Amino acid sequence: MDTFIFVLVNGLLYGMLLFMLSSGLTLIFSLMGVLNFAHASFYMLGAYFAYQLASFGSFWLGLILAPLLVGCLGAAIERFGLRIVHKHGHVAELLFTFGLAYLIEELVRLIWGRQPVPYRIPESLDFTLFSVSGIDYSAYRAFMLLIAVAMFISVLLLLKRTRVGLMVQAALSHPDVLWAMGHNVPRLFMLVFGGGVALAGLAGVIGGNYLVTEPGMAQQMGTILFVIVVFGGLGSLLGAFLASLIIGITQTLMVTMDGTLTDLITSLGGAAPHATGMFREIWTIAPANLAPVFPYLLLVILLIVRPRGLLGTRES
Amino acid sequence: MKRFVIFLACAAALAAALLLPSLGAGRFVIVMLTQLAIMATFAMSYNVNLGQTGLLSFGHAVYLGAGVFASLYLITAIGEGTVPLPLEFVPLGGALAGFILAAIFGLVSVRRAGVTFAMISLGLAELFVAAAMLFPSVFGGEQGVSTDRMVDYSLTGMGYGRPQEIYMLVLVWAVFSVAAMVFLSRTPLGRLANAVRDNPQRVEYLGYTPYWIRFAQFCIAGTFAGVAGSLFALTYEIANAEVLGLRTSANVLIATYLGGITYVLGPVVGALVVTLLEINLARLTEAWLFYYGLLFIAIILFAPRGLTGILMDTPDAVRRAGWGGLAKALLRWVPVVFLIAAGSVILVELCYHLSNSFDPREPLKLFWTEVNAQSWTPWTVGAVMSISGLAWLAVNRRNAAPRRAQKGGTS
Repeated sequence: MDTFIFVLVNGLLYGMLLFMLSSGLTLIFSLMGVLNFAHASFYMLGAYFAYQLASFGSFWLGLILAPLLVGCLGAAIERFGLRIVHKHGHVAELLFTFGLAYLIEELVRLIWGRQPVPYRIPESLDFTLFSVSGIDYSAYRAFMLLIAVAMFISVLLLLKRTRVGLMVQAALSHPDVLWAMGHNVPRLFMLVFGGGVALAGLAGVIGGNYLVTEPGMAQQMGTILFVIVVFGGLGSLLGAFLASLIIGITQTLMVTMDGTLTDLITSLGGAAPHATGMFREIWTIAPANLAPVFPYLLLVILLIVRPRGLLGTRES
Repeated sequence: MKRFVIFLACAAALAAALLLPSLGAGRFVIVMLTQLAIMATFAMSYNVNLGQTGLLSFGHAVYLGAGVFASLYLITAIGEGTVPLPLEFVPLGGALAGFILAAIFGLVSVRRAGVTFAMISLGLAELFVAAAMLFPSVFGGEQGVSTDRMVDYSLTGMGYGRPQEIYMLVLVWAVFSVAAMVFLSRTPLGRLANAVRDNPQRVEYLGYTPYWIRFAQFCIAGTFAGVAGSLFALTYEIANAEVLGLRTSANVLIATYLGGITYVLGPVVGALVVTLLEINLARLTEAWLFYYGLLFIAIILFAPRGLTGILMDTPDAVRRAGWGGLAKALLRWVPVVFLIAAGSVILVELCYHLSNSFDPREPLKLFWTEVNAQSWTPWTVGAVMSISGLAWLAVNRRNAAPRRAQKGGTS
């Protein structure tokens, strides 16, 4: 039971990390209609910037500066790249961000090399917070959860309580009216893009040392991210939240489970099947092996049953 | 006139492709041409989705892979004598595999075009790749599945062991596939697909169902991707699950877009450029993928109709500005662009050398001179070149816009 709770908390943590990425992605999508293919690349840049800043000064410097840097870079890319492509339509925008993801990955290889960089957890947070029945819970995980929750609450407050948040909400449904009322909608787009990307950068800062900081991390995270936003319903923030938690928790749970079809059959009293021929692995696959496949499987099933996603209101 | 020139160019290219082996071209050229023929077929099949129907797919490699693995098993079966099929018809098996997979995946994915379709294609592709990794008994795991194309049973009695022989087989199938796809784009189905791409609602009002038109096009694309996969299997005789991955899908997307998605033969141009870049640039520099990505971004930003678009616009630009005017405009812009490019190349190469080479202290060969990547001099030269070029561009941007319009999109 204790292990189960630990797994649940870890899954929650992973889910919150996913939400830090998917919230920005879905906000950018619902506002600008751009599905930012390079979103996970900014997550990677956040991790690498934090690594670099941590090697110059301290982790805390990276925690503050890296998301800001990533946000500024994102705003500049929106202003000087995305805005030019905008007139060619959404597919061109998607292609642009796709090219960007490709380029950022190569750029990271160019500057920091192909191998993972030693981006470590700060010493001040590298201790065991508490331990229940022999399992340690590190303080850094608690810190990550704290940051994620703080970010969640502040984004919620920003959207619901401030003037900028009101403008964003208005622009979601009627950007033309907002434009006609004299607000600078392109600048708002730039800000939201920069802000969303900065959130991804922050996720990179706290996730990069928890996971691994390497050039492949963007692609690994990116595809799961798209599953989440499509699964939750394109453009729905709450849907993205639910989908992040569902996928985060189930994936973590699956990794800890073992048992195969063979085990199942023998435990039911049947004879163990002969594992020969093609697809013989099906008898010996454990849920842990299925964990990487699971999000995509979930996506395909959902798309057949409910094409607009969990909480989506429209299909495109 | 334009049409005649294009026809002439196609005929000349075809004749060259047919005659090169008998003129005693080297092994290297033959291998490159084979790769080009496969890539051209694959890119053309991709454009049936992207250019003709407006379906941006991030998972086209899956159908290629279906063709590859089906053909690998088929060739082995022919070799063992269990399947009585001449080797020349192996691509039919690949086509069938690509078609079946596209028909299954198409049913759930072509309901919407645009961003939704793109995401679903990505999800399906990832599902397929991840599942393929789980089944080494079928996809061969790390070392992959291999076969031997030297089978006894072939239509012409030829052995297809040597690169020249397999090249002819690949070329015939590639030309046939490209011609078939060009023909299909001119049928009523192809025209309807264009209409669905531009305005699905109106097509629906006309009484057609966009879903089935998209589905048909998707299946056609999958089928020919399967053919390309077969040609791949016949040429290399080995493949692992990597061939299904996002890298391959991205590659074909970039190649197609570089060539120009609005032209029927644009993907062939793209395949040509990409194959040449891949083979020659990769020998020159380690950072070639970076330049490749940069080229892709530049095309998206400044020439959305691709390299073919630039080629097609040149006669108009010449007519408008005259040869002299065009030369003047080129003289004005090319040196600056060249300066920026050279400066950036210096910086990129230095960066790469410093972070990725075995020993950064070793001298780096850069533009026919050897430099030390750890001294300040080359960095300063590179930075000054690119920054001064960019500054000149920024200062002259205001009068750049009308001039570019005058040049007619050749920029």
